[in-house]
Amino acid sequence: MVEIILNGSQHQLKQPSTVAELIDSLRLPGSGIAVAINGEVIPRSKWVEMTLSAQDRVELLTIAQGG
Amino acid sequence: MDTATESIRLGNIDLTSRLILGTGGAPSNQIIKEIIEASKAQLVTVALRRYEPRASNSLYDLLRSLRVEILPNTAGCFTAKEAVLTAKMGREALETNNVKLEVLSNDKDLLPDPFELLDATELLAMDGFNVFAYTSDDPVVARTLEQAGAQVVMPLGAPIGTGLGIRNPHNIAMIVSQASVPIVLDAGIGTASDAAIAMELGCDAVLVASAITRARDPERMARSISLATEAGFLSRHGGRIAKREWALASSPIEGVADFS
Repeated sequence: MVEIILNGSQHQLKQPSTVAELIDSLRLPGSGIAVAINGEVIPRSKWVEMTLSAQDRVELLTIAQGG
Repeated sequence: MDTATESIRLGNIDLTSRLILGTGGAPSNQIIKEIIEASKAQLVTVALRRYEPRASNSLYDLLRSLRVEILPNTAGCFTAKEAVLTAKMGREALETNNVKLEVLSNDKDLLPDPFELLDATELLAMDGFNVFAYTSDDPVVARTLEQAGAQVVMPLGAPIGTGLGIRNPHNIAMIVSQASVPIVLDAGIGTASDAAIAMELGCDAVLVASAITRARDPERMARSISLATEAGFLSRHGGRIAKREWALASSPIEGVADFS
């Protein structure tokens, strides 16, 4: 079990996961979202190789209404 | 910049509609669909926010299905650092180098912080972004942003959400006359005539959110402001008559009947 902080809340990963696996587990589409870990934006191309570590602060953003 | 051609290029996007629609403040995605269709807007702005598992009706899917260009903003950022990170998140989410750069000073007046904005513009321009810089109506700041690499400069007419119209038309005219990048009037538009005035002052486009999304009848207001934007553009390039002190008859003087 790996515990990360996803959008400000504790989130349990059943096993060590990559960013791509986290996104799959949340049943999210690959497009229209962006990920930062510990204050650093993770390019899409790195999602399959980047493994999440315990207590990583993950920001997962999507688009919302805005002016 | 004040171009007279029908189409305009903003960042790397070619548009024939000069009304950019902000989606903020809309009561629902259904209303967003209606106002996009009614306004014929081809470019819409969005914010980036935390993914919320319970939220349904993806705005992203809706905008893709309507085939509009999506311009991510950095709303909610108060420092250059936050804005640069948010811009990068927008680039990853939407695979676009275009960003509407907002770096605000405080929550109350929501006015842009010119110093942080300038820093962020420089950093993002160097990183390959097409920066649409949301700024005050100060001609000096507008010029400096252009020199720093902004591809579009977006001065406000009045503070965000106030609907107060264009408080300093002369400043907007000065900004337009010195610019060699497109100028988009952003914020402050309350009704159709404000959009027409912005275009008559020579702005290349207008960005409208609250005036449409928070109107009693958003669909009708979308159409109204769209028509006004086009009317203002045509008026600007139709060549208005010079103002005169005294009247000038439009009917001929010659041939007037003599009833004496």
